[in-house]
Amino acid sequence: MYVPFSWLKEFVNLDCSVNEFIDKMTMTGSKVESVKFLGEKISGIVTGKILEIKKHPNADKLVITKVDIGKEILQIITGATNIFENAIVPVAVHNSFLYDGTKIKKNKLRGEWSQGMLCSIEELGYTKNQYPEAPDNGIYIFKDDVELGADVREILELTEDVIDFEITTNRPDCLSIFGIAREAAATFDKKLNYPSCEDLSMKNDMDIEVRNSDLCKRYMAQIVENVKIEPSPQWLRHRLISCGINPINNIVDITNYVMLETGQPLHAFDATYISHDKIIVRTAENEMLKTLDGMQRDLTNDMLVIADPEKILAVAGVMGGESSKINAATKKIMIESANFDGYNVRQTSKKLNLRTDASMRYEKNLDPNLTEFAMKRVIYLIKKLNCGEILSPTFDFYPVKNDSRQIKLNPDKINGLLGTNISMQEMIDILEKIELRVENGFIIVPTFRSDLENDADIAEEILRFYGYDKIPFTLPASKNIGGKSKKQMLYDKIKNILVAHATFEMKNFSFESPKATEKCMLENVNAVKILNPLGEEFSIMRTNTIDAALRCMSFNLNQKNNDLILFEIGKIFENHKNDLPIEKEFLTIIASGENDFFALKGIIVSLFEQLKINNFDFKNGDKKFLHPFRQANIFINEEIVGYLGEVHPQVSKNYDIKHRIYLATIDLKYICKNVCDSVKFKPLPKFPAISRDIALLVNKNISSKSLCDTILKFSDHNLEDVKLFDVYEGKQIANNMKSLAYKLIFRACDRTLTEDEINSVMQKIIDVLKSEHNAILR
Amino acid sequence: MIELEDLKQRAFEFINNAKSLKELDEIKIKLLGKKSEINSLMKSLKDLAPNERPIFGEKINALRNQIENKLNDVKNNLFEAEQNLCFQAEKIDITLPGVTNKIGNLHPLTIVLNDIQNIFISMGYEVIDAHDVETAYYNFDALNIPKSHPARDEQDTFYINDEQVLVTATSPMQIRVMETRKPPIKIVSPGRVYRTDEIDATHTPVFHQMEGLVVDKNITMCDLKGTLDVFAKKLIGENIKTRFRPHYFPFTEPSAEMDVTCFVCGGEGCKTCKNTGFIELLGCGMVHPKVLENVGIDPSEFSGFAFGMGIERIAMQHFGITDIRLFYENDVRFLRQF
Repeated sequence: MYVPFSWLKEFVNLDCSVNEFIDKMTMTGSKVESVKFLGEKISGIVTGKILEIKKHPNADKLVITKVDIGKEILQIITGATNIFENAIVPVAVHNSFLYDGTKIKKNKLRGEWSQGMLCSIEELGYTKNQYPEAPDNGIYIFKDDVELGADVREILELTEDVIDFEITTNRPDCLSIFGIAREAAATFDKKLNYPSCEDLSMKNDMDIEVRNSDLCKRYMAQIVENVKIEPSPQWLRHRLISCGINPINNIVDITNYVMLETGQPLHAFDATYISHDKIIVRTAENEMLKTLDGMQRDLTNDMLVIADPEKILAVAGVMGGESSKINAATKKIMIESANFDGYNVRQTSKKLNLRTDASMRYEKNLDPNLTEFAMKRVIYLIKKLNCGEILSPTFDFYPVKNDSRQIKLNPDKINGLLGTNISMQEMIDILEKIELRVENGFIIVPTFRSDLENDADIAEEILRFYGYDKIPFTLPASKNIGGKSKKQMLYDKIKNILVAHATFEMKNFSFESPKATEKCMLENVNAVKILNPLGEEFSIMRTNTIDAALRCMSFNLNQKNNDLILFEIGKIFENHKNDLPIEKEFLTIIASGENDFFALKGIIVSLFEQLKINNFDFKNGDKKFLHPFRQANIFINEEIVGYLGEVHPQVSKNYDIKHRIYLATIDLKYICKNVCDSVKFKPLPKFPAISRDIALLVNKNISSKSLCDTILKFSDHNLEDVKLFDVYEGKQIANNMKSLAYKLIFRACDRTLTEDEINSVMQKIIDVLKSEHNAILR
Repeated sequence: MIELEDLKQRAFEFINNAKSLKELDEIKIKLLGKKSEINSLMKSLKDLAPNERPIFGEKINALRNQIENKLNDVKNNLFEAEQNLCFQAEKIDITLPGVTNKIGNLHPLTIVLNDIQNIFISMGYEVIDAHDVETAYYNFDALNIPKSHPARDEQDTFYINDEQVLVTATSPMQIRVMETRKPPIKIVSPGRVYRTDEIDATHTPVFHQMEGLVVDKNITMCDLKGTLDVFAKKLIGENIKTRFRPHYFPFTEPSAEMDVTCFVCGGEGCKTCKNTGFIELLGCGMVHPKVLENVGIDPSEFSGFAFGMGIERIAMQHFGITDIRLFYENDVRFLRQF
């Protein structure tokens, strides 16, 4: 909401600076978005009188002028044809700036010096619409009586501070200069001056039928005759311009002006185009309307419209129709000041994708009593500016009057909520500043403050003007015990363990493209679809975490970040009949560069060991999107909890990845289920361990796991651990063979083992390995 | 007698001339060993008159002690000198790089969220997980945003169907918590939230927020101010100031926004803070009586406050990040900086 400071001062006698104003208004709840100084983009442009115009000796289309800018006379070359001697024009002198940022400097044009530039209204940042006296193409000409050498911003009334307030949805009354003035008056403890208005004589003798009184609580109309359509006076145009509204003509400008001033949208119809002199307020019946902006609009049957018996004239509260638009020949108009239902206007505006100054006010639910204030003000201005004659009374359809609400003033409750000790009298004083009278202990809430309903609302009003900054800082006495849940702490722990294994945490959007499952060669699942997504890429809630991980990896590889491991703990979503979607949490790890299958497997084993998860295992897997012979299912207590493997080259290709990459995914539900949180101490061994190394030559198809299992099975209970420490395949052994070297560690809990004991166990193991697996001791 | 004094002088001269520990060992054997002069003097004691024996014996022993002490002194000096030589030979260039284990990193949003959660945990807040998809009732209606409410439009909501939405704020957890627990309630609830914003330097359709809620008897606006002031000071620094401005949220009344001293200019006023000296940090307010009624808590008996903050925004201020998209690109060169 743009508020020109000078306009505001018409209603409140403010004597503070703009900065002080902003600071205090912010602290009473009117938040300032920004302040702009009109004309801040142009500088160094002054008024100058053309003394002489001569032909340029070297150019047919240019002239050389002598221009008096008060303190000196400049030679300026121009191509403009609308200038004449004694005309006063805007002169951009050496080192000045035009609206578009162009810096003007003196330079030679076809061999002659030009010490500046003569300007058009566009070069000053405005349009002919805003300054109708400006020529179509050419230099702007001032009236004769302006001072020479004056800053054109002063002459064009561009020296205004315009404050942009953020208005919250609960305060439609503040979508107006007068509403902000009311806040300002209360903030600075000043009197609020009401604008001049015309008294209305009311008589419901017009033919106006409101069929949907639920959507149109009030409809006021006024016929104005003998209308003279002209540009508005400069002061009025300037106020519209400074609020960002284009001036059009006196009638339209007045309706816009009063809307800005009071917050009540108004519309003027050319009455000649109202057939049968009858207005019907009804819902549309799948009709069309060409709106003021020249667009054909399809109107659905829930949209409220203003119509005559033959056609639709306007979309209620949103925009008028082209046919009844005020034009230069208009002689008779109907001014509408009505109250339309906020929700209906909002829905209509949304469906038409048309948000206007009117609709954005209506959609916040305006006070039906505001229509009258606005109509009185419009008529006052029409009369004052001599735009037409009021020959008939004002029509007013207002079946159910909106009366002021009463709320009991409950100082104890308010002080209790705020933690203050404000006296009742002080509360009453504050409330009266914002026109909330207190009578017999009840607050009479004016209808423009429909947001005030209960003690809490009143408490806020009191605190706003008592001062949010004046109440102390205290802490609640509540004796709650805080902390994270077991699951949250587990997730923290998982993240920290992974970070210690040189992995980086990523965060991805929760969206997915419907093509992602195919790209990842995954099975389709029952996805949660978004009705109004930001494009197809983001149109379903993600059904897997792989797609995002692959995209991240692809992005990093493109950035030449080649050697890395990323992980994410994130949700996937699954449709759930008649209920909220199921949200599952997954750990996903993706690795590239030097990190291969075993690097990833190592991280997972390490993670499980540190989480004290026992009884986990890896078995060959059969996922389509992974390398068929380089993948494993991860088991905990015989249940599949996830998988890991090398990403299938086709999938990598789908993500423009040329490197081998490795992926692991674990359903965190199983981690939560299997994590052991009661670790028991084991006494330290009292006797030394004895280790034996064996290297076994076996067929390539024999898995290390099966050898280990055999060793464990046929050893005695003194075998503490078996560790693989070397794998060899190559020239020194047969093509179909591999060599695996293991360290076996023996220890008894009650004595030091003897060589003989170990030798006999070792012999037994070697024999079994030979008979079971054809293993040859190297 | 003179013989002893002479012996002492010769012995000390030997000892002083020792060049190494090895040489000193040889000297020791020579001076105190079986074939040494002192030893033969001791042996010759038996040739003296019995009354002279103890006197002379004592003198020889004293000499022996003096030589032993002298040997020890010189030994210590030589050891130190030799060790110093050894040390010098082992000199290393300490400016060579250390051998580090590779380590990863938590995402900056996790780091900031952990900091924020820990502050509230230290004040007795329990951390509650949030849903990403909610019913319109929890996301809107129960939070005093009925279908006709203009605020419902401003939320730029993603819909799954008429009844289900992607949460537009972490506030729905307020309702879930209040429905299932009795006061005193003191929780924070971090989560992902969704808005139909096109992606640019300051917007992503998915981002993170954290909600806070306290409900008990006699909770006041001053408690809200005090709590969030402690939070801001712990998060940003003891020297910063907080400022509470009136604002509007449908589910709190009175409502406020909390500003903190601008982190760029320190309150002097600059472009970042639009010359106000303050930066907006979060929204907050006293739980709206209608919200309490919606969950069956009697507003005449209990009151509460709630607050919500954007994690990306805080992280951006904290780390000086100017483009929100970086959080979701996951470029490892970005991730390892925090």
